Order: sequence, then structure tokens, then C-alpha cells
Amino acid sequence: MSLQVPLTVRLRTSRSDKHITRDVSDLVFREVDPGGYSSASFSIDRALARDYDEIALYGDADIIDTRNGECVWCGRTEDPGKGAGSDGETWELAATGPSAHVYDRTVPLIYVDRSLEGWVRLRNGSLPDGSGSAYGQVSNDPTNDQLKALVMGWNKSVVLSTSAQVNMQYYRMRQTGQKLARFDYNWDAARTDTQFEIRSYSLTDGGSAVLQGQETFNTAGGSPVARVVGTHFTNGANEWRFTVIYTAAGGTTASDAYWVSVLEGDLYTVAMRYNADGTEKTTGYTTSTVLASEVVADLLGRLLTKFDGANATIDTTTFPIEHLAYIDPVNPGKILNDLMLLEPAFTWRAGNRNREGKYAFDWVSRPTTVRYEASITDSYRSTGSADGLYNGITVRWRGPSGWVHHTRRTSTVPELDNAELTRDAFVDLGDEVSSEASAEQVGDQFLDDHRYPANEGTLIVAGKQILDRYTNRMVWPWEIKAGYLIRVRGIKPRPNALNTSTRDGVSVFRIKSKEFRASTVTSALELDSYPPDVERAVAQLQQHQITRRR
Amino acid sequence: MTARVRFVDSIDASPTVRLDLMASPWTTDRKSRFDPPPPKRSKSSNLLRHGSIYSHNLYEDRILDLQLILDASSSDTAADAIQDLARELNRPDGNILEYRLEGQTSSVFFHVVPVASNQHEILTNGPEQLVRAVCTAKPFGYGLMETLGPFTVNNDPAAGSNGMFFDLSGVIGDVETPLKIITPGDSTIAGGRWPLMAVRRRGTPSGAPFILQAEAMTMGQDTAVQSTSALFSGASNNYIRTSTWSVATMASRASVSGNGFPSSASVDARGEYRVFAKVRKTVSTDDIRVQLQWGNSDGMIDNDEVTLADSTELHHVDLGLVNIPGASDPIVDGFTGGQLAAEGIWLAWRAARDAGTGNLELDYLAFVPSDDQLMITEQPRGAGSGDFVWDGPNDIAYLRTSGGAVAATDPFALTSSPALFVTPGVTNRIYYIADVNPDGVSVPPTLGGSTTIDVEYWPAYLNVRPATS
Repeated sequence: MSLQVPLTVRLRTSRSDKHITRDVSDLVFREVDPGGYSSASFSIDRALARDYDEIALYGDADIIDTRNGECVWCGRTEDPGKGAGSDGETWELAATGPSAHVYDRTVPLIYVDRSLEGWVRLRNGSLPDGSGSAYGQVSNDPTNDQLKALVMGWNKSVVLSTSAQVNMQYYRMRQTGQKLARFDYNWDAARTDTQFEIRSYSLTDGGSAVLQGQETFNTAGGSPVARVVGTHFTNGANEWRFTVIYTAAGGTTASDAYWVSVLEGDLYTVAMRYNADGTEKTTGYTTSTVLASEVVADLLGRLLTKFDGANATIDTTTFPIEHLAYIDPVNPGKILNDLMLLEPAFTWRAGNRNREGKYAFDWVSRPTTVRYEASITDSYRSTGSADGLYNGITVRWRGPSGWVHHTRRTSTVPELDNAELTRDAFVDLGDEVSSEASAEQVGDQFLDDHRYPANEGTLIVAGKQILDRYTNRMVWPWEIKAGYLIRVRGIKPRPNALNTSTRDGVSVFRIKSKEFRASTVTSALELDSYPPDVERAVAQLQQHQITRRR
Repeated sequence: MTARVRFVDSIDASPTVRLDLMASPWTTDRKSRFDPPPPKRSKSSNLLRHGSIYSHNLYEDRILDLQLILDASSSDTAADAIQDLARELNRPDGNILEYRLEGQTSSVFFHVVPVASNQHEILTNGPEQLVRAVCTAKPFGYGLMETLGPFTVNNDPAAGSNGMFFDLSGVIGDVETPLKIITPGDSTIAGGRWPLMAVRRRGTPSGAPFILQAEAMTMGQDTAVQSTSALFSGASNNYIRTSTWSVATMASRASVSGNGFPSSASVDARGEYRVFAKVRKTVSTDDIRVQLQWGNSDGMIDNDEVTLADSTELHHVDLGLVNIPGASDPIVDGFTGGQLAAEGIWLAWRAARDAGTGNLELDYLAFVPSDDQLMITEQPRGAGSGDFVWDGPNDIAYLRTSGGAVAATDPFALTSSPALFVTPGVTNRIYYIADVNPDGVSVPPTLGGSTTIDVEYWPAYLNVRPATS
């Protein structure tokens, strides 16, 4: 039998390291999925007229299980509130979990760019371009009005001198402060002619152009080998260029058929990424796509420096993302949310602080096996709602050419089909996540999540232990972790992905959040999805948001 | 012994008396009440089950109802006496009230909190008055400080006595009380050690599993028992070595199966334990990871992998928590209240060498009870002289100079509260590992070394104190 709740509160600043447990009036801490430790609050009765070395903005706050020394919550204190009233003088301390650090930095960031918008035509200066009738632009493809392309060439009757050329250059990587890792393209030409070439170059900060690809015009088109850092160009290159050039002694174009086009979707620019340990990833760019797990590693190495990237757990994803480019500044939290749209079977968690002051970070597959066993004997509440069922979705996305596309996906939902209802949802992917494959992925995953009525609600675990199958032990309410599956006896389930059979009286849920309150020794578990309440709606509105660029 | 009801400056056999309420002009009336503290419980109750669940049970502050007879020579003298009482009741830092019944040998001392208002009730006027002061005090009355030890705790778990633990028996009092633990500093030590302390105070602590010598395990991949070395614990062939690394990836190097560890099921085997491995690498720059697996024939649980620090020192590494027996454990048999025996668990000591040329050596696995209280302290570097003090009553650890003053050092970082509680009337086993710093330290504790530990505590009482307990 336990006596007092075996939790202690430790505050640490550069000036002091102190356990303040005996001063604390109640203690509440919260953990969510995705995110991990999110918030904590406690009040202490102390005089307002003095400062305390252990209380400071952004000081470390840890809540520790004194039985075994395990940290059950950690984060940083926010600016403490103070008050004086009938209960005396009180400091109200709130702490934020490490998940807040994913919103610390806001930068433009490119991973894979298939957009044609990043290309501009160079004015050649002293280089000949063919008497002003040369062109380099984003326009309709000469052979297919439905497609956009980079089109470079000359009109009819243009006098060309040796080395007349049209240049188009990609600047975005340099503008965002990143470096090239790989670029790849396919091209098509109006004619087969050895006097005309399409070339590609790499450049570093506008310096000398280094030749990468060189092929003569051919109506069969071309698919040169992708150019990769280290193999073809040096680490540091941050621009690349197309040059369409006339190499003969001189002549005049006899028709309009002196062009080269690079179609939308046939052009890839891949940025150099970081490893999770903060080192540059200078090799291994074998594809012109990126995986969500690779993006997570880059975020840890590049921006999320408050996390222990070197020891982070990053489960490998499989969906190849063809376009992921944030030209407007974005924070890592937003990127993680986008990655989970594409890979909803994954989640992320921020955890305990290590000795170097860095927090643990996990990008992991969502659990598929039950971890906790509980019953409804303390309290269970479900508001119930059929609002979440959809059998159709339209996904808006912007293609590489800048055109807006809409992809529609459908699914079979027995409840809606039986009622002869069609319910469509709408998701706007903005500009950052824009390819048809991505749109289909997002749409299909959304419909999967909204195929069945949600088994959702709130479960209270009060003052008793429940079984943790992962660690083979009975755990107290404060030890329950968000993000895992819990099997609850006493509720007949609705069939869904977690409850594929209607076993009477037993339902499986995912714990979306846990909030523990020490005064009552209770954990309130929000199951499957957040109950529709005012507090949740307000919190979502107040989440860090950057308007998606249109 | 005469009765005592008096405000004093300290819990001491001869304290400075601030105000004696049993000496003229005061007499403490027999109607005064020194009731024990009321309970404070965490209660969960609803209509879904019979009764309630009381998961956590504590005591609230107590109320001392002092009903005093004031017999002064004049009204002014009475006013002076009442003022003296008011000042004692309103000391900003509170007060200490010593209490002893007529004929009792020993006193108890109550920590009285300042009384802000409604201090006393004057029932009559004039030089003879009845004064009532209702005070709030901390839950327990405390006896004089008791000293236990010194205990010599050996760093060798196979030592004839006190191998990384010591027992506290004969703890007096009514309820649990926190310890004040003192270990001597050493100017030759540059700090940086992480001493660990934990307590087991239920059942028969000596029956709890503690040390599993590596040589007692079943050898696994690339691993063999080595001949006796004085650096390692145990009588003969006293450590194991993983050397050839024909399988360099994570693999089982030694294990326990069959009846598991401990080999005999018992009530005292039950519990949660934090497992420390005493290991060393022979080449400090080798990249070696270690891991503990535990469970049973139905499946094993992987604890987190630990990458060993760049050191060739023998040192302790935290392998995480295990539970005996694990899984669904009712603990007691139905309504009988009798505990069921708990079966031991299977173990696998796993390791991988990702780079390097050297060996990995294991001395033992230490199973430190982690279901009551466990504390690890990161002693600041440079804190080498004086005494290290873990002051449980004040919830803080500090360095004390040889003159008894609080030394100016960086704060001690404690991974848990420094208050280890002991229970009267039972054997309290205190586990002590001199250093669990996973990086190793420049002056590590030697196997043959020991730590002298002094223990002080103030016995806690609900009512009055018997003469000897």
C-alpha cells in the first residue's frame, strides 16, 4: 500500500537546484500524442516580495517518481504568475513541455522542389542570345497545352551567332540558404540537330558555372543521369542552370522548331539535408524524392537543437514525397504536422531531458498492440458523434507549374451508404505539399480515419494501478503514457481499425492525451480523438499557425 | 518526571525555554487536547463498485487546543503574561512546543505554525483568567534525535557484511520518519561521484534479490568466465569477458532462464528493481552498447540500450527497471490478505561492439529496489572535504564543513527527493552504491573500499512517547 503520492518537483536554474515538493499546492501535468510532454502547472505558497533562485523564466522543471527516480514529466518554467488574496501569497508556476521547442524556429526550407516557379531567365549580358527573339519562360508545353514546362529556344528567322544561348537559373536554394544535393530532369526538343545543345550547370553563390549535363537536341528527348553532390558537383553548390546554346558558326532559324522543354513533374531539385546528429548528409542522395523520416532527421540536425538528435529514434517511412518546399518561413512543428498527413501511421514524441540538457525525440510508428488494460469503474464519458464520417474527399493542391489541381478520392462507408448519403470533406494542401501522389495519399488516409464512427471519450483512472503490458507491471495513473492503445472493459465497441471485431464489452482506444492531477491521484485520458469541447476548440485556434501560401 | 508544556527553541534534551506553560503564572488545564493528526486520504468512490478505493493515506496537520489557567498577581502582570503567550504563538518562523505527561520519561516536540488570528479566548477578566490557544502544528510530534551507526558499507557486494547495504533495526516511533544521512567527504576526491541510496522496508529485506554475480549466469555469445581477479567481486572465477566478438551486433552474452532470478519464488522477491551492471571496457575508445532483456518463456522485454562511456574504469551502468514477477500480479490471495510468492524472471545481458578492438567485462548485476524510495545524487566537482549530508527533514542535500557550517559549493543535483523514510518496528535495509556515474570518475571507489555512514533521525509520534520506543 502506498502512503503519499511519490512524486517530487525539482526546479533548476543556473543559480539553484532544488526540490520544492513540500511547497507545492496540487500538481497537474499533461502529455499528448503527438507531442509528448506538453504542460504542467502548480502553485507554491511563498512571499511575493522576494526572488527565489530556483524560479526563473525557462528554468528546468522536472517531476520525478521518487520510488525509482524516473522522470514522469519535464520541461521549462514559463514566466511565473503571482497573486495575493484570501489564501495568502501564491506563485502560480506553469511549465511547458519540450514539444514547444518545435515552434521555436521559423525559416524557409526546401527538401524537394519540382516547382517551375523557382526558375528565372538570365539576361545574358555580353553573351549573345539571338537578336532578342530568344525566349526562356514557364509556359504551356509546345506539344501539350494541358501541361506547363520550362521552354527555352528561338522563334523563326532569328539570326544566331556562335554560342547564342538562352539561360534559365534556379535560385531558390541560394535564397533559403541551403545547398544542392541532387538535381534531375528530363527534356524534350523540337528537332534533332547537333548544332544545338541543352546543358546544365551547377554554381556556387553565382560563381563559375560547372558543366554537368550536355546533350544535343533530339526529338526523342533526353533523360540524363541525375547529378549528385560529391559525384558531380562540389559540396556548396546552391544554384543550377539550364543553357540552351547554338554551337555552330552562324545561321538563321528556319522555323519555330528551335526549342527545348522541361515538363512540370520532370524536374527535381533536392536540397542537402542534415543527419539527426547535426552533421551534413553529404552522400546517399540516390532518389529525387524524400522520405518523411529523412525530413525528421534533417529537422533534428538543422533546427531542433534542443533535442538529442544523435540518439533520437526515427522509424523509417516508405512514402516517397515528390515535392516538399516551404518558400515562406515555416516552423518544424508545422512540417511535422504535414508529415503526419502523409504518414498518419507515424507520430512524434518529445521526452526526458538528458544530462546534456537535450530532450529525447521519437518519430515512431503508432503502436498496434494494446499496452494498457483498464475498465470503466472510475468514470467514462463519450459525447458521441457521427460528424466524423466521410465517404468522399476533395484535395486541393498546387502543381509544380503553379496550376491549382483538385483530386477526388472516395471510399465505402456502410453507415452512409445504407442511408444513401454522400459526405465530402475538403483538405487544402496549399503550396508546400503539392503532387498528385501526395494528394492521393492524404485523401486516402483521411478517408480511412473517417470510415467508422469514432470510439472516443474520456476515461478516468483514479487512485489505482492498471496493467502495462509493455513493461509487465502495474502502473499508477501518473505513469500512463499518451499515444498508446488501451483496452477498456465495459464498453461495447463500434468496429473500426482498432476494433475489427465486436467483442462484447471490450473496446480498444488510442490515448490521445493524459492529464494527471495529484490532489485526486487521477489521470483523465482522452481517447481516440479529442472530445468536442470548447477548451479543445480554443486550443486548436491558438496553435502556432502559418497561413499556407497560395 | 514532571509534566511539560512549554515553548522551546529546539528539539533538544536541554533546550532554551521560551515560555513554560506549566510554571507560574501558567498552568495547562487537563481539558487541553493534544489529539493525533486527522487522516488525509485520496479516495475514489462512485456507484460502479462497492465501497471506495483509498490509494494514498497521509496525515493532516494537527490541532493543539491549549486551555491554560493564568493566575497572575495583578491584571497588569496577567496582561504581560498574555502578551508573552501571544509573542510565542506569533513567531514568524513558528515555534516548538515540548509536551510530556506527568510521570513520563520522554517528551515529544511539536512544530507549531504561527497563529495569525483568533489566538486565544479570554473566558474571564482579572488576574485569574482562562486562556485558550488553538494552535496548528505539523502532524507528528518528534522525539530527541537518535543516532544510528556509524555503518561501514563495503563497496564489494560479496563482502562478509554490509556489502553495498546496511540495515536499520530498532527504529523507534509510531510512524515513518525521514533520515539524515552523513558520509564523510574526502579531499582527495574531485567530486563528480553519484552515490545511490534506496530503501526496502517491507517483508524481510534480506530475502529480496540484490546481486547476481556474472559468473553465475549461463554464458552466451563470445563470452566466458574468467579466472579470479582482485578487481572484481566474488570468491573465484569472478567475472566474465566478451572478447572475440565473432558476432559484433547486439546479442545475448550471458543469461538466466529456467527458474529465473531469483531462483526461488518468494514474497520478498516481488518488486520493481533498477538494475545496475558493473562493467568495464578494456579499450576506452571502443564503441560498445549494452542492454538488459528480461521476462519469461512467453517473451522478453528490451530495456533501453546504453552506450558505454569512453573509460576503462570499472563502473556502474544503469540498465533500467525490471519487475518481479511481472505481468498480472494480484499480490495477495483473494480476500485473505496473505501475499503470494513471486517467481523470478529470465534475464539476458546483451552487448554489441560497433567499433574497436577491446573486450567487455561484467562483474555483477545489482538489483536495487525501486518501488519505495530511490535517490541518486550528482555531487558537484570540487566538493571533496567536510561531510556530505542528505537532510531528509529539510528535503535537501549539502556539503558541511568540518566546523559544521554549510559549505559554499554548487548545488547537489538530486534525481529524486533526498528524504529516505524509515519505518519503526521493522528492518529497514538501506542500499548504498558509492558511485553510479555512468561516465566513470577520475577517482573511482575501489572494490575493497568502504564508506562510513552516520544516520540520524527524529522519531515521529502520533500521541505521546513511550520511555524506550
